[in-house]
Amino acid sequence: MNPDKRGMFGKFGGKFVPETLMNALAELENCYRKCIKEKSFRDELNYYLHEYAGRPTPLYYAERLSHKLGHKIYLKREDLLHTGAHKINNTIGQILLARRMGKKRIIAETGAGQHGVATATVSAMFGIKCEVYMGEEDIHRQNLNVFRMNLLGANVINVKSGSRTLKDAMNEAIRDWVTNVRHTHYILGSVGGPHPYPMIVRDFQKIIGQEAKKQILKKEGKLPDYLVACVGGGSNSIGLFYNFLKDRKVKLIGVEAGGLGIRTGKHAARFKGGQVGVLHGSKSYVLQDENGQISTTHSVSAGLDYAGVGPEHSYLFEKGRIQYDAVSDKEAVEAFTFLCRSEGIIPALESAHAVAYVIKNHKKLGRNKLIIINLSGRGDKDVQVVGDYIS
Amino acid sequence: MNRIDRKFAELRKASRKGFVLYLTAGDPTMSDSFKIISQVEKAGVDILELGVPFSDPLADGPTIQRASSRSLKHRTSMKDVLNLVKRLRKGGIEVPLVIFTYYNPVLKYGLKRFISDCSDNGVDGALILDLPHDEAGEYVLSASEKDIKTIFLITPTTPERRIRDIVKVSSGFIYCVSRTGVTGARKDLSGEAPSIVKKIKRHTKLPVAVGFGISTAKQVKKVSGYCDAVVVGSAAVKKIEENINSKDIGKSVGRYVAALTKGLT
Repeated sequence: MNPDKRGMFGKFGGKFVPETLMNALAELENCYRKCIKEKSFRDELNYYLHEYAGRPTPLYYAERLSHKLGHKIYLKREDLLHTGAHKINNTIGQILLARRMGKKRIIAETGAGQHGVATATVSAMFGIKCEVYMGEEDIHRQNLNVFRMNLLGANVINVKSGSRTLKDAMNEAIRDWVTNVRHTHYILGSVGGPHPYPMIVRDFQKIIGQEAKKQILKKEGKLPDYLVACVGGGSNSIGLFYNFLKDRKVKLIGVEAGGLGIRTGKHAARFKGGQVGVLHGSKSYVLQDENGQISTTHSVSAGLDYAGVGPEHSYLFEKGRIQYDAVSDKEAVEAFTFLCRSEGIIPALESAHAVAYVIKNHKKLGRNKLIIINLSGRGDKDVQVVGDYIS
Repeated sequence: MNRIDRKFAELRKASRKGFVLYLTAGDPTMSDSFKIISQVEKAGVDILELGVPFSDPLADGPTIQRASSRSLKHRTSMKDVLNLVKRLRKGGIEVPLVIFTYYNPVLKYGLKRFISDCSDNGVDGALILDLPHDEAGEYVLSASEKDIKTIFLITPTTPERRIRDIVKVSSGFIYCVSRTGVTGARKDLSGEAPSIVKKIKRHTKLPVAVGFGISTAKQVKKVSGYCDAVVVGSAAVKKIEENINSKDIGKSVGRYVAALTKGLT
């Protein structure tokens, strides 16, 4: 569904931002609504998605994984996209919008660094100045991506406030935007944040599910039983799920970061331990304490290590259309190595959560089910983290 | 009559400009806040904005971020701040008080409960930084029932048609943000503020306070020349930071504020 005029998905979403940004959000929404109706804009977007990013991505039959688990499992290979994750679908779209709006500077937040790399990439391609906010903790654990961003000419700004992860990087990006809003476009990387971002980012990501649907119908002649994707802010999952929302028989499963276990409090499972609140401009499920202070989260995967979640997810959670579950750090790392050995694919630790869910619940899912897992990114960036974790 | 309205009526009568001060409640401790507020009232503060700290203050610069962390170290809650207000009122402190915070702590406390407890404890107004007027329907309605003033921001990027809508739901005064950016002291004042104030005045009779970046008596003088009240925040918070371990924290901040108010026209 599309959000209402105020940007609400039911009771979730909205624009809870300082007044300074309200006009920029309106400007962005107007630009987006106008552009998306123009054939020339859509052609340009499709051109870059196809020629530059490498779409469409394959829907790969994971034969050995399927045999081991007793299901027919396909992987949607977003990891094969240029820059190594689905994030580029959105950054190409948004950089085209930024150009139409005449913005001279790009900023972004990043957790795992994939969105930062994708933003740095499109900024380099169009010769626009780019600065990326990244938490110190994430800079440390995703150092390869920091190096990549620097190579691409972006300035990575080390965020040392709060828990020094994605949440804090986003605070700093918003502070920058409040200050430089007149000439800067903020390329937000997920389906969170104030309206219109959750709608725009979803629309740029929904191509994942559009392709997957065509591909599975061609290969199998029927719709899948399950779609499984990891949920940090929620862009790769909504991207895969969106085109299947009306196919009521297709079960949609979002996998959150269970960290060290829900009971320990060291996790990022918003739908297990969160309550409705407002963070970074939208109303949604948020991990918070009894005074409304945002909790610090934990996940082995930087891209899922976030206290909030996109508002459309909260809406679909309460409607019961998407089921959410969590897997632990340990299960995710095991799935990571399992996929490496069984399929010769090194997945991002984020995507490994989706794989882990299927491995863990393969009996519960029934028998011989047709499953698509969104392999949202590749895991080169995580090799060091996994190495450290195992030893 | 609400203390904010009364204050601006007095100021008008005396042809005087107002001085609004921001402090983070519980920075560094609640008893320090009590002392500081007692002193700054004597030093000539006309309205006090009392910050309820939030873990993710995305409209604040480094100074107020640090103040929020200091206060949150001992888990300052909305309830604690409202209790502080109650004690201040019991202690005879009559300076108009505005609760200044972000939406999530209010939402968690309960919007109606927040308004009603504000009213019971002696709060006069509220400013919620990330609650623009578009999202504020219920809040404005509840607040007006209890005569809690709803203060909204108008910034250099607010178009005139938004100004028209914002002044309709505003009460007490309008907070004009002098430049795009987060809170924090700056050497140079924004050149845009006078024209924004003029624009606002075309649409409302409410008093207009100008803030963001003001830290010296000279700046206070300049700004109070074209608006009804001047807001100083980060600069005073910095003074608190410098006196964190001093027994005379209240008096030091009081002296600093007294010097600033000399700039008022």
